[in-house]
Amino acid sequence: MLDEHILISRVAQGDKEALREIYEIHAKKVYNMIFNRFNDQYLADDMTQDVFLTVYDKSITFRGDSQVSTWIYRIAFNKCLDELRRRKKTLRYKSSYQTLEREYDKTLPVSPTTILTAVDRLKQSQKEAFTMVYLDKISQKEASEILNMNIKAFESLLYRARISLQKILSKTKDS
Amino acid sequence: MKTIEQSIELLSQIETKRPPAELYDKIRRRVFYFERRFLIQWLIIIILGLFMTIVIIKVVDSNQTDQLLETYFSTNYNLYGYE
Repeated sequence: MLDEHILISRVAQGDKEALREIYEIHAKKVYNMIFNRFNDQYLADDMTQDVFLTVYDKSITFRGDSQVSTWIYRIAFNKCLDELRRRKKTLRYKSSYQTLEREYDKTLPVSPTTILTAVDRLKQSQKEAFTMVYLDKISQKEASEILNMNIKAFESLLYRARISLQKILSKTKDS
Repeated sequence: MKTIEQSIELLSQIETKRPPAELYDKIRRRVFYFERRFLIQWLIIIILGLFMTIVIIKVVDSNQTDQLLETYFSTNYNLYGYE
């Protein structure tokens, strides 16, 4: 973690090699975070570039209060919110997981599309919390920091999201 | 609660995508343009600063010789192109 702080201070001095190292560590998560929200490869490409350009530009303002990863994911998350605002729509999941749909275990009671449709029906805050933890695979602590919440409030939000999802899925099964 | 656990388990099977291999090169290129733009901005600021300094020096100089600014420039630089 300390190494990443050193890397960021090197980036602030204009070190491109340090930027490359930061990119190698975080690009995959940033890319998936964007892809999970927009299901658009070209947009994910562009926005990932934007995120790392912002990292390069703003690295001098990084105070080191949080982990570098949290700071970078927050930049990515804010860019996603900007893009959603620009498109004037809320986070929606398209049926982006056809591959999974084809390969999923047929003995399970629900399909991936059903789950994603159910996630789509959650409240915005619950959806964000759920997406960060279970789709973006960001730790609960980091996700709470990205959303500017304390960890207890975040755990409670995630719990409510799971309960709501359970209700939606059981209704879907009944109907 | 079993369904939700299974659902979450299913979501964890979603394969994470890898960013394209050439993506970092694009970022490197954009960083290069970003820096160049930054340098050009500074260059413009410096040139404007120098220009304004020269103008101010001239104005101060014209005031010291009790000349109107227009008279000063017209006598020194032939502003109206009569000749």
